[in-house]
Parts: sequence; structure tokens; C-alpha cells
Amino acid sequence: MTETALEITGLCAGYPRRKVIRSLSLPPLPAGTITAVIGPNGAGKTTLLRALGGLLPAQGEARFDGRDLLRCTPSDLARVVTYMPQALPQGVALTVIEAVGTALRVASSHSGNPDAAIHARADAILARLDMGHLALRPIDELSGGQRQLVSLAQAIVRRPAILLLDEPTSALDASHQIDVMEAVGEASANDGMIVLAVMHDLNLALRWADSIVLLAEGALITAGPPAVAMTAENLAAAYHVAARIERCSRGRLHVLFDERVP
Amino acid sequence: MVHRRRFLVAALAVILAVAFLLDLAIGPAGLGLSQLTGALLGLEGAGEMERVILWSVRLPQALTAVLVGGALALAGAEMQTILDNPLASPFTLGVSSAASFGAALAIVLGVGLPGLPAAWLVPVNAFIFAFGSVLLLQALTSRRGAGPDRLILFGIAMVFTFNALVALIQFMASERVLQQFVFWTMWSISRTGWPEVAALTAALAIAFPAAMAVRWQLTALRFGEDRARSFGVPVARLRFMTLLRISLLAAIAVAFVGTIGFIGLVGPHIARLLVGEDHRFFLPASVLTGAAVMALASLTGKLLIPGMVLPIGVVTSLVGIPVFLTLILRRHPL
Repeated sequence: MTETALEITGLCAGYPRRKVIRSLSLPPLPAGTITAVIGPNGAGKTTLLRALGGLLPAQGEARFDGRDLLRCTPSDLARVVTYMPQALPQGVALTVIEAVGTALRVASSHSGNPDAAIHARADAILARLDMGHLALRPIDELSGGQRQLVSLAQAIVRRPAILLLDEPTSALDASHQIDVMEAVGEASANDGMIVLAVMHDLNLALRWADSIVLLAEGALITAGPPAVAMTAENLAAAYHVAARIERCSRGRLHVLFDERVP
Repeated sequence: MVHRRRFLVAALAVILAVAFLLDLAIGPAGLGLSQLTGALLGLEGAGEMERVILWSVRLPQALTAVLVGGALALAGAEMQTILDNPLASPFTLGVSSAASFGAALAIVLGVGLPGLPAAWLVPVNAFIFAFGSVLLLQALTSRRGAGPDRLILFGIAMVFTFNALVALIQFMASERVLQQFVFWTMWSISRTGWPEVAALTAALAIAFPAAMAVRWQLTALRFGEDRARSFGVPVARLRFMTLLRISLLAAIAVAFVGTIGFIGLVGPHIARLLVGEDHRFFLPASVLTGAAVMALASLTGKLLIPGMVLPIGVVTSLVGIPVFLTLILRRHPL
């Protein structure tokens, strides 16, 4: 478990002919917390995650544990950061347990973990995600939601210090959304993971995130605790919609959208 | 699951062994099993003719068939993984077309490395061009990231380019030389001997352990490039080293026995249906399947028309492709 925070300063990232994120600086993201990255389409949410995951060239600084992640070698970065894309590809002839085991074995080819240890860890993650009964099923036979859970299991099983999730709940029903966010919360709390999750469902973000990063057009609108960052003004500035943030009968904050504003 | 897959790989090895022995035992000379066993073990009663037929003809040819099958299937399996395309094979990237062009230069124009024995001119030329095509491909694709789509597009461009160049050389060739070239392009093991067996064995002995060493990286690549990189897989280096292995395997196979595209496609497909894509099992299963299919094709080529040995490439296409289509349609009905 680590107690180090991730500090992002002056981050610029994008493609050779188009910078998507321009000079983004965030408050420190402490260990054991979930940060929801929200914003409209094209805001640079996925670009931010891909840049931190070493999948896109980036300038600036992302300091963690005394190192600048943007300047780490790919293998050093992989020991610290795991990026989970939106979906598993189709047409992969592997079972669920093989898929999860592979995520571990790629790394353990260096550390020499025995087969039994890898199996036990993969089994434990699948059990935590309530997928133990699917362990021997080919992943191509699973539903979209189940595939997303396998994808999450691949990421969590590696116990990275920093976990980057790109829309981890996008294909899931309400019940599985709760399963996923509980599992992410548990992994974050137990292993001290710093989780950055791109989320489109603002109510999920309000409920599960410790902090919010709101982006629009590659720039930061606001960052901070959900109750502070998620205001009608900030949402109007980012999404161009009129929104209300209200407490429900359980005292939880909820976002309600009314109409587009110019 | 692991035990089942190990069992299936072992079963493929048994099928290969049986197919190889049958291929060895059957031939136009009509030797009996006892004569062959005697020749094989160097027993007293074995005649000189039997010994020559076995050691100079059947054994090198049967070994060439399984080694070429294994090499092409391994190359196909690795190519399908790194290109994320089940239709990829060594021939998708124009390796065989480049090799054909090299062979055409040697056969028709006599162009080749100076100082080589005449017997090696064609295979060495084919190898140089096949290998060069992969290096060229790698150079072109690494200019701005080597995505699978770009590799396949360059491969297709290479196929058309080299085919056009071969057609040009054929157009210029005399009738006699043209006939010689056409014979080379028709897959045949009848001209192979121990030097070819040694070269193919060496290629597989280098490429197979090297592929197995990166089995987890190759398996991880099946989940997409981003995810594999996030798992710490050096994707660009993996792809480059895999391309080198593919070129070595495909070039040597093509150089010695001519062009055949079917095994590189069907070997990995059958292996995938049987053991999935955990490359611990997928790579050996592909090699064994490719080798077994080639041995069976060689055997069928001897049995179809008594007294005549059909070119093995013709047999693999005529018999193998319907079998392959049946397998695919059973799994994915139209």
C-alpha cells in the first residue's frame, strides 16, 4: 500500500496535429481515493488517461513517488499504472480465467510468480466481482456487461498504484454498476490505489468519487470534492445545460438536467 | 481447462506422429513395412535400394513436409496475433510474392549472389527477397507507429508489386525457362533433401523457442495494443521481433519448396478452435496442426492417383480448404 499522491502539473497531451489537453494542473490526488473525470464529449477525458498511461506523448509533469511518470520507461510505468480501455475486443478465444491470468502473467514473467499464486489471485478477483461461476466461460460468449467486468478484473488484479478506468460502467445495468463501483472502491481503499475514472453518469460520480475533475475543450473547469465541484454554474460552463444539484431523501446529492443553455 | 488443453496438444502430437509414419511408409515404390523397418534400422536383410529410397527420398521428403507445415503454421499463428487479423498469413504481407520474385530473377535471368552453387541460387534468392520484404515493411510501418491496418495495407501493396514484377519477368522469359519457373511455383517436396531438412530444422529451432519466450506478451496483445502496452508489453519491439521470426520461417519454407498459403492460415485456425488463444498451447498446437496437415496432404498426394505423386500444394488446397470451410461454418453458421 502506498501513501503517495499523484501530482499533475502543466500537462499537455494530444496528437501530432492537435493538442487536446493544454496545460492541465490538478490538486494532488491522494492514495486510496477515486477521482471521477467528467466533461462533455471531446473534453479530453480519455486523452488525459491515455497520456498518464504512457499511451500518448505528453509534456508537463505527473509526479508520483518521487518520479515523473511522463518520463518513465514503458516497463517502469507498467509497474505503477494500469489503463483499462472502454471495452474488451471481440473475437478473442480465451476463457475468463485465462484473460485475468494473462494480465498478471505478463508482469510475473519477470517476478517468477508460480502458477498457483496467479490462479488464486485471479480467482479471488473474480469472486469479488461475483464472476467466479464464469471463470471457465469463453469471453466471447459473455454479455457486454460481463465483458466489462472481465476487463475491470484484468486491471484490478494487477494491484497498480494508479488505476486509470475509461468509462468502467458504460455497458452495465444498475446492479452491475454498483458491483463495479463497489469493487473499485474496495480495491482503492484496501490497496491504496489512486483511481482516475472517466465517467459519463454524473450521479455515479457524485456517489462514488472522492473528488471530481471537470474538463471542457481540453481545459480544467474545476477540480475538488463532489459537493464543491459539481455546481450548476460549472455544469453549465462545461455541458451548456441547465442543471440542478439536489439532495434526495437519503441525503445524497443528485444531478438533474433541465434544458440546453446557449 | 489447462489439463484439457495439454491433452489436446498431446493428441495433436500423436496424430502428427501417425501421419508422418504413414507418409513415410507409403510411396510409389511399393515397399512393404518390413522392408522399410529394416532399412530404417539398418538391419541385415535390408537391400541397398530400400535403404536409398528411405534415406535419400522418403525420409527427407516426409521430414520436409512436416517441418514446412510447422514453420508456416507458426508464422501464420504469430502473424494473426500481431496483426489482430485471423485472415493474416505469411502471404498476406507479400512474403511469398517477394520470394517468388527472387526465384524468378534466379531462374529466368540468372541473377543471384555470386559464388553460390547453382543448386542454392534459387532458394537463397527467394530467401533474400522474402527477408528483404519484411525489413522494408518494418521500415515503412515504423515511420509513424506500426498499426495492424497499416501493416496489412503495405502487405497488400507488396503482393501486387511483386506479382507484377514476376509477371514482367515471365513475359520476358523463353518457353523453356518459363516452364522451369512454373514448376518451382507449384509446391513440391520432390526436390528436397537433407540440406533443406537441416535448414528448416534450424529455422524452427530458433523461432519456436523465441516465440514461446514471449507467449504471455503475445496472449496479452490479443486484448488490443493499448491494454497490452498498459500491461507492460513493449508492443513495437514485440511486433518487430515477431516479424523477423515470421520472415525467417516463411522465407526458408518458400525458398525450398515454393509458394503455399493455405497452411499458414488453416494451421492456426484449427489450433485456435481446439485450444483457444492462450499462446502456451496455441503456438505448439499450431505447429503440430500445420505439420500434421502437411503430412496428411503429402500422403493423400500419393494415394489419390496410384503410381503418381501429386504436388502437395495442389492437395492441400483441394482437400484442405473444404475441410477448413466446414470447420469455420460449423463454428460460425452463415
